[in-house]
Amino acid sequence: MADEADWDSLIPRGGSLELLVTATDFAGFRRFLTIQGAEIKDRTAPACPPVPP
Amino acid sequence: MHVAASSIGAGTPPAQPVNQRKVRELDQGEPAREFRLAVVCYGGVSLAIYMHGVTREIHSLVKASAKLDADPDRKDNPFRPDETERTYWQALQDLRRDKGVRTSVVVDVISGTSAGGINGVVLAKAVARNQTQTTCVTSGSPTPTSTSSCASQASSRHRPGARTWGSGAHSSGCGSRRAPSGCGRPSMAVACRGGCTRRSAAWPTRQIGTA
Repeated sequence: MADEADWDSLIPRGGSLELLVTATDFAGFRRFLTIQGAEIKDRTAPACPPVPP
Repeated sequence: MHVAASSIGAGTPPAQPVNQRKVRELDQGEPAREFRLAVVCYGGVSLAIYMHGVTREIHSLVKASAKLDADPDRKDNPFRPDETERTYWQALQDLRRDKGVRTSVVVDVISGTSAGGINGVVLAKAVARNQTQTTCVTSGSPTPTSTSSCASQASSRHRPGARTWGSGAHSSGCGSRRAPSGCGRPSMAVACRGGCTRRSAAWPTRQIGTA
């Protein structure tokens, strides 16, 4: 895993890449991610509800 | 598959608020414009197979553009004759010479549904890590080989916030009873391949829909 200092990304420095992935046939899989350099921020909303036992 | 594009920079008035930092970076030195791509990948296996070829070419275009940005005055083509990046690099160089403006191509937004989501994730990971798409599928986070291993890795608690590629940005939400549908760690769907292609007893039985 590359450190931030030597991160070799095609995402412009200071920029970000938005990634939305949905697959409702896979149990409603849904993710909205923002990729900034080496970091991924999960911006999927709403928050995950609790699951009954 | 849809690919939308917008450009900002020299000679192009922005139609919406502009990322000032990007414009400043582009304006350093020669005139430049940024050509942003928004990629929408449809679902469907056969569609995804052909779209993978398209996403690979988009990745090649971005790589060629990045190479040109790094060294705009380079005369010889840095790519091998059997690489499509070579053609893109030459086209961008010709465009720069003819128009007097350097064009920087970036992928700004990727959206993928079902099988198209796999293409989207692979493209995003390849762009973020500057790897080949083939490498992205076979390296990085350990890939689960069964649903059970996928589910066991998803059993840890969801921790919101920033994560990094390969450091737990792993598959989840795919089979765990503890994690509700689509509620796991920030996921690399690619890591689910093999493990999530078949349903198991751990999966919810209700059918939500199809993509």
